[in-house]
Parts: sequence; structure tokens; C-alpha cells
Amino acid sequence: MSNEIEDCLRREEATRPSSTDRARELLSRLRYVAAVIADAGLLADGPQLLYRTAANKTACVKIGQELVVGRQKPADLVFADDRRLSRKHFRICCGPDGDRIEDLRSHNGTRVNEARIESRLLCDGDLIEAGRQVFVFLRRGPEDVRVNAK
Amino acid sequence: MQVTSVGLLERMKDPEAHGAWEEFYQAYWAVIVRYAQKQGLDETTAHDVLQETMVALMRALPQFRYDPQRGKFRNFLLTIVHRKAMAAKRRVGARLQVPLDAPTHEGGLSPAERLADEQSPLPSKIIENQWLESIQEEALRRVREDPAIQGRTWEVFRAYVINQASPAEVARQFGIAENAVYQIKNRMVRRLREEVKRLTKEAEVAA
Repeated sequence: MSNEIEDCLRREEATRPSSTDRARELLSRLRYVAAVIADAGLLADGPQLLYRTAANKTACVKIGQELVVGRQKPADLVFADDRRLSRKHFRICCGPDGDRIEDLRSHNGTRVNEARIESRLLCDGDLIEAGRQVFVFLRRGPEDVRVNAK
Repeated sequence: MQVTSVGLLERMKDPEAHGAWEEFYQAYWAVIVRYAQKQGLDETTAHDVLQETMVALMRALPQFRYDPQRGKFRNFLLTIVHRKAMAAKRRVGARLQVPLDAPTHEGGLSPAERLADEQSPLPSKIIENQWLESIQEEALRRVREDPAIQGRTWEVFRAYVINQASPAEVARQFGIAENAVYQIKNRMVRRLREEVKRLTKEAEVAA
């Protein structure tokens, strides 16, 4: 028994999260993600962005291989009234090695999970902030479990 | 800490019931982070696995129907956590450009084998053992940090059980009777077992 506990104690120290702050921050982001997913209803497969419209409805846009978000065409997803967005603000490219977001030298910057980014790989449930818009990035990957829905 | 019942899992299936998955998150976040770290991921990436697991649950649970032939909710949960950890590992590997057939130091799996493992139907025995270890480690932390357990009680336990000092030596060091050393040990071991049982039970319940 003592060996077992000694071993467990050693392992416990090796895998102990260094702080609970990160888990708390994640929980507050997940509250928003959960609310948006609940509003969106049944979601399609593949990478997509969810966001609240000006009328406070939840909208969903599929990304395909690439999506550019900005204030004017030729951006694919346009928010013409958002003066804090650059004309071409950020781009998401989806490929076999992951889904990458890239800030397109926007004036006010792009944030993922509150951190300003230039380029990074996205995770399922990441929050993207650009201008006054907040997007939830969702992707159901090949590793996702299909539920046994009847 | 609350014990999850069928009721909690049923409530988690309701997309409006935010309180239910928050309860689940509070109970399990550290177990999931520990499990992901056991797969060789750093703490930041382990939190990505936690995030992706929670989002996958939010999406999957409203459609989840319990099927006894497919096993317990724990298997469903562990399958999600494990696959998310393997996918994260693959992303990290891709960034580092590890050759696809290069063996790794964790369990000897090559990236190609891990890719296959990502889509395996149910967790293997090794994976289940690592999950149980994560639960035991988290249980130990909770017992150690339980404000109801005095620091001195933990120190006696540590001296006797972990550092393997003799009961007489521990009794002398802490100025207590030898019998008290045995009592503390029994109480702490019982408390640890209860905590492990509680955490294990949370995900044993079928939804």
C-alpha cells in the first residue's frame, strides 16, 4: 500500500496543473461557447464560425478551405457596420495539418482566447475576437465520437 | 464535491442546462488535464484537450442515448478525451515535423500508430489504467488540500506511509501515541479510497 501511495504521490506532483487560473478562464469562455452552441441547434460537420448577429441571433458560416472576415468585399464574411474591423481582417485556412487563423495586418488586431495573435492553429471551441465581433470556432474532426443517436 | 448521478448526466444532455456541465467541469477538469499530460502533452496543450473535450460533450450529449451494449458513459467520455489528446499530439508532431514512422518515448507508438489509435473504437487497458491513475492522483491532491484535514495529520501520514518511518519513530517525532499513527494511516487511506470511488463513480453512471 505504501509503495502504491508513494508512487501515486510522485505521479501526482508530475501531472498537477500549475495553477487553477487557466481552468477558471477556460470555464468562463466555455459558458459563452455553450450558450452559442445551444442557440445554434444541430450543427453540421466540418469547420465553421458561429457568431451573434446585430439582432442577437446566432449565425453559422461554414469555412470550407478558406474564409476571410472583414469590413468590405472581397472578404467572404462582411460586417460593413463594424468600423473597428479592417477591410480584410483575418483569414482561416483549413487543411489536413490543422486549421490556422492568420491576422491580415489588421489595424486593431485579432485575438484568440484573449491573446493577440499573428498566426496560430485553432482548437475546437476557440473564441476569436476581431473588431466588435466575437466568433466561436468549431470543428468536428475525424477523432470526434459519433453518438449512438436513435 | 458533488457526486454525479444519472440526473446530472441527463441534465448535461439539455443544451440549456449550463449548470450541469459546469458541475461536470468542476469535478473533472484536473483529471482530464492530468490524463492529457500523461500522453506527453505540455500543460498548455493539455488545456486545449480539456477545452475540446468539453465542446465535444456539449455537442454530443444532447443526442446521446445509453446503449448497454456500447458500455458505460465512462467509456464514451474516455474515448473522447483520448482521441482529443491523440489529435493534439498529432498537431504538435506536425509542427515539429516528426517523421511519421519515428517511435516516440511514450509507449513506443509512432505517429502513424497514434493516428490509427485516434480512431480506435474504445480505450485499451493501458489507456484505462492511465485514466484511473489520473483519478487517483487528483484524489490524492484533493485529500491533501482538504481544509478538514490538518497539515499535521498529512505530515504523520507522509512520515509513516510515504517515508516509511517506523510507527514508534513517527509517534516520537510528532509527540503522539503509536496507536494514533495507525489510526491516522487508516483514516487517510479510507479517505483516499472514498475520493477515488467518488471520482470513478461520476463517470460510471449510464446516461
